[in-house]
Amino acid sequence: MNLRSRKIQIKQPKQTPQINRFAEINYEEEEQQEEDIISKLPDALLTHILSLLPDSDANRTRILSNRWRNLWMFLPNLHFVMPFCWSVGEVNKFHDSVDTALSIRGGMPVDRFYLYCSKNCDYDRVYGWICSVVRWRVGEIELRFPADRFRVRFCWSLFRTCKTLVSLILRGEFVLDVPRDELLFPCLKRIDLVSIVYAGDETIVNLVSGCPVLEELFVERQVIGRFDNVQTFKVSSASLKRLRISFALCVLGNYRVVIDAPKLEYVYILDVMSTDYSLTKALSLVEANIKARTDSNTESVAQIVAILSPVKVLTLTDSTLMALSYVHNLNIPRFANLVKFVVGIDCLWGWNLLPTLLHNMPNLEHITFSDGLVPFPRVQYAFNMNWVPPEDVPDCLRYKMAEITICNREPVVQEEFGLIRYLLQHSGNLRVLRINSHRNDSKSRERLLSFHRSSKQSRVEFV
Amino acid sequence: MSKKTLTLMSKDKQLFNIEEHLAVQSVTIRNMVKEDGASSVIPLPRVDSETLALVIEYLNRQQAPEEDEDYVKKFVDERGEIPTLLELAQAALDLDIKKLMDAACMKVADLIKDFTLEEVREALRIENDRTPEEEKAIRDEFQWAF
Repeated sequence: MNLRSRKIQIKQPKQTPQINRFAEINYEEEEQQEEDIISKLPDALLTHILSLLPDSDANRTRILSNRWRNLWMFLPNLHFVMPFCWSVGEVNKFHDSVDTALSIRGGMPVDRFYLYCSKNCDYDRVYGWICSVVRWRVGEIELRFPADRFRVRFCWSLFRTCKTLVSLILRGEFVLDVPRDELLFPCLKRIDLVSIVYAGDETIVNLVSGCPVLEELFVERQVIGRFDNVQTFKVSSASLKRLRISFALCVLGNYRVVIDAPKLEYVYILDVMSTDYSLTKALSLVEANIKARTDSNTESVAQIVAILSPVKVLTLTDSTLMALSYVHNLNIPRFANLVKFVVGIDCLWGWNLLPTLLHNMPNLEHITFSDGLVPFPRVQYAFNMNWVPPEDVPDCLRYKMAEITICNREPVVQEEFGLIRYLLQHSGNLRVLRINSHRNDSKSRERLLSFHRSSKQSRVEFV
Repeated sequence: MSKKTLTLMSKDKQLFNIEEHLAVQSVTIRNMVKEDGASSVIPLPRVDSETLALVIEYLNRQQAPEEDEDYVKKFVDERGEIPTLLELAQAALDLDIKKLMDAACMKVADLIKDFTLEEVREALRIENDRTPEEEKAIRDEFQWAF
């Protein structure tokens, strides 16, 4: 196939071009090409440039001209989206176009294969495509299936010998069933499961246990208006390093989370439904990010925070903090290793909790108030944030604190000046206090700059 | 060991000297040197003199390995014109200098990433040989990308 529009006859270059290609060039035709840069470039170079663009941009270029029409087929990332089809003809047309693209490549390696299936897609042909890309050493697969409840049969056995697939993303409200098998994916490092309906609790257990080198797992449970068949979310993995869960089903129930991953380094939990948490100790745990709702599961929030307290980097949202304070009644766990703390100030407790938190974080070097110091928008609140300076200055302020970042969305108000003044006055090791509020007028800036700072090397930045 | 010098000739017949140990960063030149000693002039009939001068400048860089990445990036950043970058990428592809080619392509991709299709056509001087009907058919078929 010749996709080129000009005369220079150069085969689709392989990875190492041979110098003898130069000999084929006719010197005479070059002068007229001075301005026609693109047409003399080999397709390999164009596809290489295209491969550096996002999928949609790269695919959009097929409209540029006839030469560009088929270039996308040679991209290392293949991206197919089945439109909503009204007729069998449209369905077939989509399937044929995928067949064509795959056959034209003639076995070129595929880095990433993205396939979005809509209703009425032919799963036998989908199976054929997946077989092809697995043969072509695919590294990442992302599949979206529609809620065809009994039709999708995922081809597990195909991957048992696949030595290239490292990332698998599954989406869509189809029913996922995973057989119990020693080995499903020998080299898979990352799995994302988004809005899936599961056959039952054992689905995720089986999937994870079939991936001996899995390092990263993301599970988003969000299926509109129905239950996804998982009562206890259980992850047991000896290799898992990063776990992110986002649980937001609106069907009420007693949901449990059991995590047994001794090598875990990072955990992100957004959970508004689970009521019971169990986490085995992970000594390597470094970072945790927790967003939780307050009304139904305060106990479990406190449970998670207590388990995660040995981390070095911690993010707690305002609602998490609120849940924490409900349960512990200001008896906050000690965060002995914590170096960086990102916190949302809740509007119920205000700054009441701050002294206790700081006292319990003796090694804290960096604090970020992710939503500023006061609730936003300010007009909606009419209460005091209640800053009562602690009797003893917390150790972390005295010896460790180097960076304070305040992501305000409104100009600094009177109440905040008091807290900021306290922080500047007592942070002996401070390098920078950053205030993210572009609408501070020059007067309030001057005032902030005039506060006494115990650290001589410190500066105040407005960003 | 004395430093051997190679001579490269651009398509407009200009000659450039470069030390052999630097020139062999190009896999293509390395293979030629290996094959026949490359004692005479090496012709590069697809590379014009301006581009070749850039390539030579790049090959002559004296960067510590850990700074090399930044240097390459800066090197292409300073040549922000798409035509120059494409010529450079093409030369780097022919000469098989992977780092330079990757950096030049990355820069082009960066530049055209936010362009509209019309701007891409203009920047790359692509003639639109499609009828509006054909264009519409493609837009309809690949709605997700537009």
